[in-house]
Amino acid sequence: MNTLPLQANDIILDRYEILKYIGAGGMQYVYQARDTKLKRIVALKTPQNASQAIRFKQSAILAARINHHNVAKTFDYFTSPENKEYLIEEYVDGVDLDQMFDGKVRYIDPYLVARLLHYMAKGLSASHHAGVVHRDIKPSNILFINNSSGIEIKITDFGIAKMAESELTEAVERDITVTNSRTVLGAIPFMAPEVIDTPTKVGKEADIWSTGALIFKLLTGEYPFGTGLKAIQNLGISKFPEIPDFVTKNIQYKSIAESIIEIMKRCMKFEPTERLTADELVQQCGKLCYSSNERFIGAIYKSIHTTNGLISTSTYRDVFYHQKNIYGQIAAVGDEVMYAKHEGVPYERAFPVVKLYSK
Amino acid sequence: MTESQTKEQIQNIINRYLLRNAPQPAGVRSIAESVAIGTDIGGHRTENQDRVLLAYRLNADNSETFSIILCDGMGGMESGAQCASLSIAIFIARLFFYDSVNTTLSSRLDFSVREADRIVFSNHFGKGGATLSSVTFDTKYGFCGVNVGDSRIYACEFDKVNQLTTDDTLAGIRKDKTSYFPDDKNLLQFIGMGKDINPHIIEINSNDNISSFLITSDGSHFVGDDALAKIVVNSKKSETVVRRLIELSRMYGGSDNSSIAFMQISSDFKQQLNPDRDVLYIFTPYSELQIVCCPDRKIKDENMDCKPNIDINTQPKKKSRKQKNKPDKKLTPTIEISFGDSNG
Repeated sequence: MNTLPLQANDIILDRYEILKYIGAGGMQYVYQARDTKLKRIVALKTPQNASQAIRFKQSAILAARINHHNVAKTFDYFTSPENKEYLIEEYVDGVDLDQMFDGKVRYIDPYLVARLLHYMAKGLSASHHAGVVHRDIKPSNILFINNSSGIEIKITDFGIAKMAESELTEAVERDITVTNSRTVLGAIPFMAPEVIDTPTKVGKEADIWSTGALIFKLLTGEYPFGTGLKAIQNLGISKFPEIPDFVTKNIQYKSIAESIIEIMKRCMKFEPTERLTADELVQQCGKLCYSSNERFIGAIYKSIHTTNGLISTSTYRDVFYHQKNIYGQIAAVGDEVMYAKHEGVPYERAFPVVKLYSK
Repeated sequence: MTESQTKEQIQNIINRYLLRNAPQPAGVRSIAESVAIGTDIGGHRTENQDRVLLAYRLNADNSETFSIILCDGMGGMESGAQCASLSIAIFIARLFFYDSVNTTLSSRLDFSVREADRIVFSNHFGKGGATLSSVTFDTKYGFCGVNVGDSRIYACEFDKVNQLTTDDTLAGIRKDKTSYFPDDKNLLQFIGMGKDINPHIIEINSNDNISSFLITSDGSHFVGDDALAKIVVNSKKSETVVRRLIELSRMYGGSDNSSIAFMQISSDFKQQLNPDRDVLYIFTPYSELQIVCCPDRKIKDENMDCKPNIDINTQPKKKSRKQKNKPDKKLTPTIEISFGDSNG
């Protein structure tokens, strides 16, 4: 078991005060810290061991090239007198999509999917314009913020990013003490076919594929080609996966869902050159019509008729829902739901509504 | 007691036995001269999360089933040693105690691995796991292998060694076997992933010129196929193969746990071990476990005088004459367990 290199109240370089440990992602430990000079909260990252320092530094340099609202900003990078590497990044008060799916969320409504897709496309476009290919777009690298200011996403962790024009010619040797035979399961379902077949030719197109695969997961709750070895075997069949019926079954979501599916298919072309570019993806997303409402979690606690009822909220006002407003599996009294709300009398109206599941 | 309860009980006994703290120094053991198994913590790790063993059973009908099995618990995730022990215990309980005599060996191997995956996942929720590699012999079906993960099975001939398995990693499935990204040697599947597992069944043709089988964990075969083949080809005894490979792994840095099982195809356990029928023998590099199986479940259930002794610190016991003269019948609840320690 690794012990954490930093503890709360530690001060780094007389400037960054550690507030709490957030987690370990990819190759680094992540902490919430206070920048005592600029009086702001930041994310402080440090590599899990010395052999990852080069890759860590490379990721900091590449991420710093990108300045966009949908990419977590890099503020600083330095080596301490003790020869430890640190990266200071924008602190994002949210959860990554992996954590979201690990919880109660199985899939999200197409309007929210459209919104996330649009933001991701913008972040990728900025990244690709800066000449940076992320190469590791997956749920754990997308931070999701949902608060009263609305919904945001930030792309993070450029740990294996590279410059688009650079050639990948050298093999990476694994240090067996570093990786400890961990799995690559989190990344595999979102990996473009060329990463497996022709790894030296991986370019911007791979990010587009991964975005398409991620949208598939958000919209359907399923991995497009399965997980693990099975995903790779299915990729070899070169056939776009079936979309579950529920995605387009409800007339209230049919139109937006079909538009997303169309975009998704153009992102996930097996021939990389046939895929949309990030700019084209932004353009296509611009045609989607979605609201920017915050999402809430509540529980259905009362039926009014067999097909409608009330959702209890954290405020004193209940929210009315109708079964026809539910995307995917129908929810019943006692079920938790994620919903957006709109003005209504005597109750506010819930739309869209998505059932949540027990862990 | 139902058969599923019996399997679970056997599984629990083996699991607890394997969870005993392994001694830190390398352990190498020869069994019946033709099989050798060994494991070493290496020079950098604080815990040996590999488990390697030989399981043997002389069935009631005088047929034999035996299996060399290696599980490499996944460090970096939770409970590597626990996952390896549990995986191997479930695998043995399902493989050696099956419901239909008509089930082929390959089906049993496939089923046993899937069961191990299912149960390890239900205990660790995908946050821990192990590789599993096995070569198994059954009198009716001959030899067959199964593999999940990046431990390897090799078939050894007179002057060469062939890898029968493909590593379940991105580098492993590429034609050039090369890592281009930092995670390319991380696992695509493992026991405990809980979904989409695809055990590789390795059918072995008895007409092949195979003289022996070798199973290695990644802490052993990282020395390279060339060095590994030279040691196998130039070692006269099974035990020598295992000792030399463990030493080589140490010489190369010993950065991971290193485990090896080597089995000559001509193994004659009946002759060498003089085994009792319906006793499941488990040989590890350090000790052995014997689970004596009850020939008549109904009688024993009624009497309830044959509960398994699951105290793993029990001193070695002598088998009673009554047990030695058991009638040859199927059905297999455990009635007694004995342990013998080996100085390796």
